[in-house]
Amino acid sequence: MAPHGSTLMDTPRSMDIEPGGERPTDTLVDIENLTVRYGGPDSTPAIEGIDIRIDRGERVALVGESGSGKTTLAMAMAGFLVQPGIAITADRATFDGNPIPLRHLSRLPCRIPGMAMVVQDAMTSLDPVYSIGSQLCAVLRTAEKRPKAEIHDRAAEWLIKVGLNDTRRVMKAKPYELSGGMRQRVMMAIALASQPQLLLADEPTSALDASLARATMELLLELTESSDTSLLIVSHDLRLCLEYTDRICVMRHGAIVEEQPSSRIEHEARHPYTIGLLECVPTMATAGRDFLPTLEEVMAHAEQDVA
Amino acid sequence: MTSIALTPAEKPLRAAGTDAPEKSTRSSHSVLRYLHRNRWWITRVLALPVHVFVFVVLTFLLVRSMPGDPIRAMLGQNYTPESYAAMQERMGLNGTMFQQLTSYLHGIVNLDLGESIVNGRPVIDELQTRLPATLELALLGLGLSILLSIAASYIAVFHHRSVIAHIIRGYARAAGAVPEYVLAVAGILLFYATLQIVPAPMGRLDVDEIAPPTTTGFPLVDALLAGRPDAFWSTLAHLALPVVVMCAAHSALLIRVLVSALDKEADATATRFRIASGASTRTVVKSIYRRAAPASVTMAGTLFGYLLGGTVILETLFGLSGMGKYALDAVNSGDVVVMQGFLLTVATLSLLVFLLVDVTNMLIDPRRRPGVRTEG
Amino acid sequence: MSSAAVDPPDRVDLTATDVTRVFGSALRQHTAVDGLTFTIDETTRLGIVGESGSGKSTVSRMLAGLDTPTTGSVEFAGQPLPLQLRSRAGRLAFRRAVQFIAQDTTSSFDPRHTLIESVARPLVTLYSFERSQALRTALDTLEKLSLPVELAKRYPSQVSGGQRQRFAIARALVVGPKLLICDEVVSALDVSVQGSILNLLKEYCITNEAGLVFVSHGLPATAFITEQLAVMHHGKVVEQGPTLDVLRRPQHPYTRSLLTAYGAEIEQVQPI
Repeated sequence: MAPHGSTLMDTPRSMDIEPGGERPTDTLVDIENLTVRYGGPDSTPAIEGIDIRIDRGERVALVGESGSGKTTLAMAMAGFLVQPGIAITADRATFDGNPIPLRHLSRLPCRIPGMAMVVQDAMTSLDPVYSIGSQLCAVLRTAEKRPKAEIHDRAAEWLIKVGLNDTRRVMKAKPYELSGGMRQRVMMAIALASQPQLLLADEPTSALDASLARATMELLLELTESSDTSLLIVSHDLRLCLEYTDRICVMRHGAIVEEQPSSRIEHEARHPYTIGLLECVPTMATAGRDFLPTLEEVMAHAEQDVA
Repeated sequence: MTSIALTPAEKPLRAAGTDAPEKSTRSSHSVLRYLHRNRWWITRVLALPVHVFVFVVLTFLLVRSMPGDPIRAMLGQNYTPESYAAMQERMGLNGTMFQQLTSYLHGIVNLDLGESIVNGRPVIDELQTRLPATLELALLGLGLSILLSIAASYIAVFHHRSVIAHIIRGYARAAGAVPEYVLAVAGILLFYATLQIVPAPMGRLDVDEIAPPTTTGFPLVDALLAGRPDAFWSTLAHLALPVVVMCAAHSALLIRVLVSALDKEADATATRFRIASGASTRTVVKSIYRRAAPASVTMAGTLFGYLLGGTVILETLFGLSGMGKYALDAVNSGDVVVMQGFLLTVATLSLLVFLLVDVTNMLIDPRRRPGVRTEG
Repeated sequence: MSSAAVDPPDRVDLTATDVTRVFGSALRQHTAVDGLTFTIDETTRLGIVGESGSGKSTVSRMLAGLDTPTTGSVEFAGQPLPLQLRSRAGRLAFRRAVQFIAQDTTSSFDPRHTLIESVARPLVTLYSFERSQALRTALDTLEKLSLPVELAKRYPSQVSGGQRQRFAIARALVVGPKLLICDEVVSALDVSVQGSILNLLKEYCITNEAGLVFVSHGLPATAFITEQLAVMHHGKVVEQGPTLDVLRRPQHPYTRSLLTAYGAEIEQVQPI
């Protein structure tokens, strides 16, 4: 496990922190020394000693491979780790000034107001037996106290906002009656209808091919830009995240090994793992080569350079 | 397989069941469209009489394929050619097979199920008195079981750390193993003989009470309709123990099925997404129940079918006259006509219940409708 | 890498002629593959790319004999594939020469057998090896693929997806096939293992003179491992040719849009 406070962390903030002063109020998520153990207080931690902060309007990516702990971190932030026997500790874990619940006694996870989440597969996240309209209105009913007719209109407005113009049909349709692309847009509409301050996107592009992945990211950006919603994207595609986020946290084996602005990380990556992730992905440039660089080779090479 | 290219203002996949492109709005065309879209329940309803017909023919063949000569067996010592012919006609066994079948079917269509060989009473008359009574008992038992399982499953799943939840889960695991008649005997012993809080297990009313006139055939309803609240409460009190016994014996299975489905749906991604997007807890719980319901609905339907035919033991133990006892007596006396009528009635009712279960499930979960293509 | 001591088949070529595959009933039909024609032999490394729903997985299954075309034919060594697969001898000959690796590793392994048993099994079924001999040969193959023995003694559910995929490849390679058909084998894998698996497959094909059909929606991975490239869109092959040519001088607008999505620089279209 990487030690707490990895030495390669470079954390420029958009706000300067006065030494010894209050955290600026533009901070939305403030987490310090978060550790999650799935098997109880004595088991191996899934993530350990994580420090992470997200400001309002900021777009952050958690990049890593399976088993790196990135999904665990996102779930912990959302208060969604409710498995029995799980042990979560943190020195500090707040969202918009309020503490994030780390212990759960109820069967269902509690929602943290102001946060919403979209996941990889729209087919499984939309409720299969209810119509789109009913699911959208259910969210709007809690978010806005308005009469029923107005809620219906607002729902239609949201559908248009995500690019689905045939609102009457979509409202009455069930999820399986829509195409994959439309389902994804509906999922985003539902997630954003409550006007959250933070949108968590868990592997939104992982199952998609390149053009669709790009379109999805564009849509995410477009929808969150105007409302100044912060974005936390969990992904394994470092290069894609470079283009659509402000800051990247690279995770490996349960720790953040590197954290840099997206504009700089490509050329100024310092940790061998980051360099490995950047360079061992097959790209158009590697098409003509005899051998692809493997992660181990690139990392060994990078470590030599650093040494 | 579908294309998932994101282009704005996409048309949705053609909705389940509507293949015909929208042409004009002529009324005949819209009627056809309605029929096509709703074919999931229309076809089921239309198929019901066909299934009943098949069962009718099967029953017919069954009776006629019994080994030996049932007429002779009935007559026994009283054999004469005239009495043989008379008995043959009474049992509907005269004429060719085809003639027998047509006269049998003709009878059924006119609701004439023949007359009992033993006492000559028309079967349909007996059924009219006994069937509603059994139906009432079965419905009460099923109704109570359903209510109990919904309440118990809610506690067991959503308050899973409480003591009651643990008791419920333990009960659901163990209770299904104890047979109904054991519980019935134990119940009579405990609540009647020892504690004396329920009336004697001898029928629906006390010996000195007069039964209300039969209008619908449902004893409780008849009591209310005749303005006899005393008979109503007395009947209810007499039915209390058998209903509780039914509930205790069968709700365990319902609870198990419901709890397991609820557990699965509570952890589903759809639930998490609903919570994460901000739906109220009430909406979320309702959606969990709706997604988890189909398996339990099917189970409840099966249970009802069983209760309808299997209440014979309870009826015997508690002295209630109903379908079970009727069939039992018929079997004991070899009354083939009554047995036929019994089979037919229970089968038709079961088919009806299965239809209801199917349609309910397809209503709750639209993915189960035929012609719906869900993507992987 | 082939350690099976048997005679390789004489002719190993798969020919698809105007293959079409239509799904669904009369009311609602879906043409997954429309008029596909090409030939593959042990010298070809063909990549088939396209988005989800373009029909490429269906193509790979038909080539592997796991699905039959609605119209058109697939022939192996000159004989129609259904005919080939009808007799036991024909099936043996086909499966010894042509191996298929699926995308989903969880369902392609028998959960009741350990990984080493699954890898050794084709030797028993296809070449009637003795169990001990099969296990030894399988271990040999695993060593060449740098897969540790301790991992091989585990059950499929006890290893990661990437490791399972390597075992699936080992199982396909253990019989020394002359044609490999890979259906989205790296799509579900982490970046850290993709490179090594792609290298592995490419090396096998080059060293053992085996052919390859590589189906994927990831263009860069496919471009690396193949020499010929076919681009599919809505069931049709819209562009086909040597890989580097297609990448540098795409003719069809769909190919161009695909390449733009990967951030490639595209040369001006040469007017035909």
